[in-house]
Amino acid sequence: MKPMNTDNKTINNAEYFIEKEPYYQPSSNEIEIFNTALAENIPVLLKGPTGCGKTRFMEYMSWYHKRPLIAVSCHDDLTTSDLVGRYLIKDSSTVWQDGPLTTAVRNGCICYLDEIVEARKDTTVVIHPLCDDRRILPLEKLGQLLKASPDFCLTMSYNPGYQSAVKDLKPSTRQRFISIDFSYPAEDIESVIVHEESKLDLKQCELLVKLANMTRNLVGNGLEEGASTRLLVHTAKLIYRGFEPNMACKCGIADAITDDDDTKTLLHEMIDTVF
Amino acid sequence: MSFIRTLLKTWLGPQRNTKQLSLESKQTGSCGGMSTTELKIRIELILDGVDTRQIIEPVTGIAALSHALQSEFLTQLASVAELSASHAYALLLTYAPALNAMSTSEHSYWLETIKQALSEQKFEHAEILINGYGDFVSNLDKTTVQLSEVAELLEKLISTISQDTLTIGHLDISSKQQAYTDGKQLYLPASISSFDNYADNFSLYKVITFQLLGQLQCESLLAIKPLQSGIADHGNDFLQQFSFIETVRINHYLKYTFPGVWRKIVDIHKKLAVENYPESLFEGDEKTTVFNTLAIMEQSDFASFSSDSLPYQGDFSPEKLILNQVENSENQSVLMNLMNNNIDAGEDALTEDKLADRISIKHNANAEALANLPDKHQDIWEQLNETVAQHQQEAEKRREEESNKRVYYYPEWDTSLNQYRQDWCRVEEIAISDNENATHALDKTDLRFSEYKIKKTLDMIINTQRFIRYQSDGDEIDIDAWVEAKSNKTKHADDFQNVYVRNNKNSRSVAIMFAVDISGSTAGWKNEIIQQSTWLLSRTLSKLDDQFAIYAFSGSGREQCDIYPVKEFKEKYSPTIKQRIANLSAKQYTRMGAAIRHLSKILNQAEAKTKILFVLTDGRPDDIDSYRGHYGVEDTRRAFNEAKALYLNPFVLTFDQACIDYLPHMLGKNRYRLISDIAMLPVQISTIYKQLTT
Repeated sequence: MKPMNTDNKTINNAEYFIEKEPYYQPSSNEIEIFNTALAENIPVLLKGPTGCGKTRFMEYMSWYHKRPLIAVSCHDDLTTSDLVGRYLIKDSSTVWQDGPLTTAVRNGCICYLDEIVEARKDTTVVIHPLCDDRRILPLEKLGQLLKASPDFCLTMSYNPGYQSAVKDLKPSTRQRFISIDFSYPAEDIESVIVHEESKLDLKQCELLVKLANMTRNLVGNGLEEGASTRLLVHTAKLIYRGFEPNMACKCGIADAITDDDDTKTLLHEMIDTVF
Repeated sequence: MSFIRTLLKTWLGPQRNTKQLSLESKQTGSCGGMSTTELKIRIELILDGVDTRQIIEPVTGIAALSHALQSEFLTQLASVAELSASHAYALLLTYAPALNAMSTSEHSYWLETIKQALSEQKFEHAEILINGYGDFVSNLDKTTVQLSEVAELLEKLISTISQDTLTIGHLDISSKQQAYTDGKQLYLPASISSFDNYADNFSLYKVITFQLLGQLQCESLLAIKPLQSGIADHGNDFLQQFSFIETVRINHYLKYTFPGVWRKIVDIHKKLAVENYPESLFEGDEKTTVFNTLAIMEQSDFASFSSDSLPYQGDFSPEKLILNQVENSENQSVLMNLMNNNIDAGEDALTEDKLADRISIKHNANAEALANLPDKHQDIWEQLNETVAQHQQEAEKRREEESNKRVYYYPEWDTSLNQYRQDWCRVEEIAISDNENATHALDKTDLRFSEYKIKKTLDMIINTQRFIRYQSDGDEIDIDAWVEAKSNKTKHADDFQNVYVRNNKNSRSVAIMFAVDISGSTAGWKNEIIQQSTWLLSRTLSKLDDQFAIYAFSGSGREQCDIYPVKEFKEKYSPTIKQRIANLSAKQYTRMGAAIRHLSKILNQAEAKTKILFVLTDGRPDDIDSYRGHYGVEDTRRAFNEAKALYLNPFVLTFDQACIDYLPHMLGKNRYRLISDIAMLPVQISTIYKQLTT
């Protein structure tokens, strides 16, 4: 079957553009790596704990390259049809409706599959021909092979913290990507991020980051994951809006990351130590 | 080995300090409980001349305790006997009942109070305390914070800050020492009652903890040499002044690093009326070192701070700082240098012997013990050393022999030491005979009803529709639904909304490990019902795609934790499995922690989305060597937590009516089920299985 070209755009790309520059503070050379991958048409895998800035990074890169971003949050029930497309009924006949992946392939968008390991393994296999030098998407129901637009870029994210036998990438998927590791930013950078996002006083943000690092040291000892940068931003916003730091941290961090009473007591004590 | 060390502990008792006690207790061997005979011999060694016929009842009470508690008892008895033999005898009579009447922390506090009274020669008061332990508990000041209550919380708190593992130990209540650290452990007062409310007393604990942590993080030990020479020139006033200013410097560090702690310090100053606190002493200096402290001492009037002391101030004396450095340094020459400097450093410096002892405690406990032994025991020590070497050789040989068996070693959590005993439990997988045996228990006709019920329950899982039709959204068009809707168009226009079929592909990916307790207490009809349940379930489960394995466990002591594989994950259900189940018989004891660790490891290797560790038991963890009570529960709790960390889902099904006493703590509120009628086990187990996996 001869691959079809994607000359006809099916969406108005402007709808998917990110117009306002998202705030993004680089931690390392992730921007340069992404730029190179984009230029070389290599798919990118973003690895990192929840709330460390993976999605924000994608928004920033979409804005930076002026390419539309189509983001898909993956989940257990995500089927191949949900990604590729399906027939719908319209006026007593059927019409084909592109899924988000097909839309991105046709229109030269950046397709961002968030938390890819949450999707079923048979679903993730559909991206394989898109991620090698073929760059094609088979549309079985249409009987077509869709050739990706030169501007198309596939990016996926996953959290290695959830790594288990069932939530891991297959090697055949994994080895099609360039990987960018997103661990939590260094303390000073993370403080600046929290400050920029919440407008809270930098000194207070530094204390929040200190608290977050203390919670991260508890991982495996009562906590599955420590407080994320996103949680810190939420908490900082509460403080900025006039909440007592202790109360804000209890609501924004301690109660959000655990239900276990003993761990919560410890977290409250940590908050009391820092604030 | 434990016996040897405990004997040594007894002989060495009068020569030891609190620190040595603490170290030795960690090195003490087995957790196996001591028999009444062994206890009587040990008590005789402590209470010279006691008539053992008169102490049968109290010794029986002590024999029921775990090894850790028995060791603690002997240690306490020895230390009280040093102060007064008659009081030690009275303590022997009341020790076990008192332990039952109070919490562990209250009991520790009771003992410390008795020792304090004796050390102050208030013998009558000590007698009242010993005999009136009930009154002691009822009159106990509830505002006092015992270290034992808060040590775990404080330890965890500092573990989130410090890179090094720091533990918490208590000071001898009678010594009136200041809190100090040796770089590995923070030594805090056994209790604090400075304030009339619990919260403030706890705050003081926290501040002291952070002061000691501050000593390490602010590197106070760098001042050892100047401190030694200062003390040599000016005496203890120099140390007092240094301690005060260094405490202020650490407070300055805490102010900016942990504002919450600083807030508590300010609060303590206010409540304890600390006046003239020089808060601005280090103001402006963001990063200070101990040399700033020394510089201030040089500049200031020498006597200006010398009489001051802060309520949370740690001990900065050179010998304590040296301990810190000894822990942190591996360079023996540095140690010797420190030692030599110390020896030269004036009247308060340690003598060479004492310092050598301290260092040897850290690096060679045996040498220390030997150095302190009376001559008459030297031969015994050498004999014991030979025995130990022999024992090690035997262990090595045995390990070699075991390399062909399926033998594994697992750690065990010792709650009294608050740490793991590495490679403590020897777990061996022992094959169950699958020889033809009477399977009458599995061939009863009345099992048919149970089998029918189980099948019905599990069929609900098997028959989950793969395609759900008439959906408003789905992967494909449901042609039949569309045709139907079209033909019904005039009647039900809304039918056109439900014309999709959703691929509800059975995404069950379940691996379940059945861990069956076959301890001696299940002998008889319980064992028969366990066999029946296991067989019915395995037979029915084989029709599901779910992976399952069945292992039974029992054992006797830590060296014999036996695991009996009935069905491994890789095996298919077959008549062999039925034979194995029929050959399952009640064995000995229940060392649950080791079994859970081993089975968690196996389950973790299974590839499945949901992994369930299903434990079927008839009671609490129990084994011969005092693996019972608090010790057993805490180790099992730890093992379950380890399983949870591997993303396994532990669940316990129990027949024990008293499970409410320990299972919620051991596993969590929603992770166990009590079966009141064991005859219903076969049906119940399948219902729970369905609930767990759907």
